[in-house]
Amino acid sequence: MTEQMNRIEYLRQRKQHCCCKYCGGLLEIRRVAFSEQDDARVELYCPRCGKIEFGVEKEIYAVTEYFVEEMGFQCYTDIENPILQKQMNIAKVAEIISWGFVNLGYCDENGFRYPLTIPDALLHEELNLKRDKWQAYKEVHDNDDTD
Amino acid sequence: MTTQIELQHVNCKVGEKYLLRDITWQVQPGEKWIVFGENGSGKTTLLSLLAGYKRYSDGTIQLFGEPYQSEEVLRYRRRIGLVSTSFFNRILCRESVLSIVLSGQNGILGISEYISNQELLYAKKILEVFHIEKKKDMPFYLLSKGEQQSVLLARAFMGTPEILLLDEADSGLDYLARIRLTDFLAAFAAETKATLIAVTHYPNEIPDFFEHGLLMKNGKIYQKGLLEDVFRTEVFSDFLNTPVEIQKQKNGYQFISKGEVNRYAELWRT
Ligand SMILES: [Zn+2]
Repeated sequence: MTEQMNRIEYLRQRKQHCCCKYCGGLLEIRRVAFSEQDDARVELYCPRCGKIEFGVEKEIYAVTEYFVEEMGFQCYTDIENPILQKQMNIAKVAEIISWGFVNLGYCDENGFRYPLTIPDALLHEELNLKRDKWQAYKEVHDNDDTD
Repeated sequence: MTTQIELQHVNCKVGEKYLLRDITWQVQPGEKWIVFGENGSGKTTLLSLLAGYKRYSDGTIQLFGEPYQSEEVLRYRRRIGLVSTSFFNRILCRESVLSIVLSGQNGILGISEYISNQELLYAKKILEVFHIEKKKDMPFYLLSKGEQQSVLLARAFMGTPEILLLDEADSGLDYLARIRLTDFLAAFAAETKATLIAVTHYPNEIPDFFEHGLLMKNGKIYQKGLLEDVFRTEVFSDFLNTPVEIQKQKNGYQFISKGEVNRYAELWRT
């Protein structure tokens, strides 16, 4: 986030190109603490998970979900709740991929810096569907305001 | 020396209800205060207000020698560490331990920009110090009270707090967690010049380095000053509305009830 860029404006932009790294849902800007300053009271929030969430790029979530589901990735054997377990696995892999992308210079706060070419194998029907869904969501939620 | 915290006739109102009423209080840098009061006496409100997480209705507040400015609230939050499970439980629930700790960096409650690798390594180091590194991915609500406390302490130490506010940090902890907290506070008092304000329900476990006491009742300050002037038999009998005798011990104060045993014993005597 550049210092000149207002935090709220930054969050507004981020919620357009990112989604919750646990459930893949859309993020919203929500007031979570008391303050006279918007800067100090609003956060990016996933209403589905009911949590404050910084999010990951939507494309990263999509390939991550594929990886966890199809490759059977599992690093939380001690978590009993299967839904929570899957979400935490996706979040972990999404975190790793994001870290790699940022540190390799492919991604910054504003999203991807280069056009993506996602392999056909990953672009299965479901992923395409999700992309369409995101686009639809994006249009509906474009006018969302801060709480 | 500049007074670090100065409140003059501060009120905090929600609707018609006063959460804090006419609070006038001064804290000098490096002082160690114990705050004592029943549930609902305004202790958590006072601490969350000082840490920049709550509004006040009127009165004046000076922090670090300057008038309180709401546009500086994020800066205050970095300089004042708040550790309060009763406050943060209302906001944090499913957030992961690591993101809560990292959020301490900027004074906001979530992560708002990419975290640098140094910050990430530092957060993990602090999590190790507080024995919760293995829980770093877990949601906050799945942790024990002691672990939640440690997460909030770790969050406070992502910055370098000049004032540390502990809200009932000692309640609900198991034996090991309590020993660790005592050790942590001893190290904090010995190694830093920071101010410490701790709300407690256990006056019999007050470490020696606390030298000031504040009693709160119904949103007001009931008594404040040096601990030996506040923790006195007459003051506390009056404050608790029940006769007690207070004896100074090596660590803290012993409260000896006068008369309540007989009152309960009546149950079996009639
Ligand atoms: Zn979510």
